[in-house]
Amino acid sequence: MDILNHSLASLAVLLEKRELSSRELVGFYINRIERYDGKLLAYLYKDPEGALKKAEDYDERRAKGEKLPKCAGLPCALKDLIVTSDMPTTCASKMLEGFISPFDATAAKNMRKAGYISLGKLNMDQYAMGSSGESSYFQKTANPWDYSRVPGGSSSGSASAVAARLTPLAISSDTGGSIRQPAGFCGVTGLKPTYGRVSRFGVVSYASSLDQLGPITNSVEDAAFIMDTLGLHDPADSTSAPSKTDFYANLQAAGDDLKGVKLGLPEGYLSDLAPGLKVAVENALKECEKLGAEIVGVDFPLAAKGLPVYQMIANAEAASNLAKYDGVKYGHRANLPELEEMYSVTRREGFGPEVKKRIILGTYILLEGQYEEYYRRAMRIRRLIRRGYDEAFKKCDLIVGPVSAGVAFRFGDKTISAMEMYLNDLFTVLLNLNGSCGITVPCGFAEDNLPVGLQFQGDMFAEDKLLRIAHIYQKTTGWHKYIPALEGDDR
Amino acid sequence: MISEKDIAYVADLAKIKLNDGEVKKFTSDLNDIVEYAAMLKEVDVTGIEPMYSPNIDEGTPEREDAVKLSLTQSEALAASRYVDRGHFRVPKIIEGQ
Repeated sequence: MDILNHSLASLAVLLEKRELSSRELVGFYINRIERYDGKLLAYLYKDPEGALKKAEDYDERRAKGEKLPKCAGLPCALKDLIVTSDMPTTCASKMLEGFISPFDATAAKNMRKAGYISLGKLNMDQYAMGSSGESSYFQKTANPWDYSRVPGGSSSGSASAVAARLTPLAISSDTGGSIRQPAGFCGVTGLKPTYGRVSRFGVVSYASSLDQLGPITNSVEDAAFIMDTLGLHDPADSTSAPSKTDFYANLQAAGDDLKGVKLGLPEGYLSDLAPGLKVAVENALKECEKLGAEIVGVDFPLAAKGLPVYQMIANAEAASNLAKYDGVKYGHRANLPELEEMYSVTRREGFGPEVKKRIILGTYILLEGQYEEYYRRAMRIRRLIRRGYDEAFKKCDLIVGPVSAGVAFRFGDKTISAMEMYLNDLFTVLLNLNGSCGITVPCGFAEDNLPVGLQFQGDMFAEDKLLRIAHIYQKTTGWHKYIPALEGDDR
Repeated sequence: MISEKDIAYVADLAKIKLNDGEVKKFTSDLNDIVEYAAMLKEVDVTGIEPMYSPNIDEGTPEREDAVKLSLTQSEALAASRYVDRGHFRVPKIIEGQ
């Protein structure tokens, strides 16, 4: 049986009919991890024995005719900022090295309840701060399409592992593009749901008004399937929306064409793109037109202001959220005899340079003299950005465009200028400021055989429409079926 | 223009001990970012209320104020290496004795 040709829904059926055992399925992914992760370095923590034991347990119970949850025996993996009591959660930082949470994040709990078995925790930029994965304290995950290139960030391990088929799905987070951008760089599907759609309880916070969990998968269909498990209301998260569990059912009625669909293309969106990437995105737009969609121009007056607005808000919230790492109750502590010294050396040693920089910037813009000018002003412009989206969605169903200006870059390429690195987020941060949903799907290959991502952006809680349109595009074009050739572990 | 002195002051507020090299580097990086953010001043925000969160305008949801189990003392202490007789141990903060 070729496991890689099956969707999650189809694997769940095979398991239920006992045409495939969970041991076989989980074992298949564990073998791939053992063979390939030595070079890819996508996983920070693996639990092969534990996963196989759980798989065997489900198989036995199934053989006895026990009624099991619908995803019983399907494997998954989690970005290393979703806390779990059975594995460490480090946020790829020295600060949380070896930290084991006393409780489970709601998302992790919901996954387990639905029957998913976790293969392990996936690498990321430290505290989700970065666009390349390079700020992980532990290791640099490679892009499976070209090992000398970054997988994108901050969900570096998630996108790389899903592209390399070292897990069929990863649960990741997106604060300014951390699901969509690496999905684009690695040629996989990445969904950022609407703020509030997935509980954030137990997810290590970066910027609380922007953070959102979502899946990275090999298809839109799989993303819809997993959303039925993730989309449950959580009383522990005051921003959590009412439960919704019909994403997959609604996708089944998607149809085959895009007739009547209007896709908005913001002016200037295709101007400063790398040549090969631009061709791929333009071809994708033509494909959508062939399917019956109409491409309409939309005005996005404050698009250029998105990045500085994001930087002000995200860093201010980060400075506040990360104040709790003081070495007292958990995490790294510099064992020094004087309290103030203990705090400041703990934080010096525990945080990487990028994290320190963002905390310092956030603290600066929250100073009395700067607060009104930078922070509050950014929050006001955020409302204008929301209005811009509202206006755009009066003219179109979704906004369409690239997810990044270029393809995956080489390691070290952009470490020179901090500003240059932040510009990677230009196409993704606006959506987080608005709070609505978006998805990246692969749309072809550019120079050097590197994948290109196409981004669809939808309105608040418009996941059904977003998934439907992305799914029709995807099943017609089939770009998601390409699998990178991996280098075996020969270290 | 942010000075090295500003950065040292902010680092102290944020309780992060920086060395001289970091102070220099962060001063330069932060000046770049703040300079870039100057474009925000061009936007007319008169009469526009700040949007603190994507769904905060809908109000804060309320729930029943019910008693629930939370972490036990030993669970809460389990992730620290500095534990003493059921408490977190920290450096002495009161002078004398």
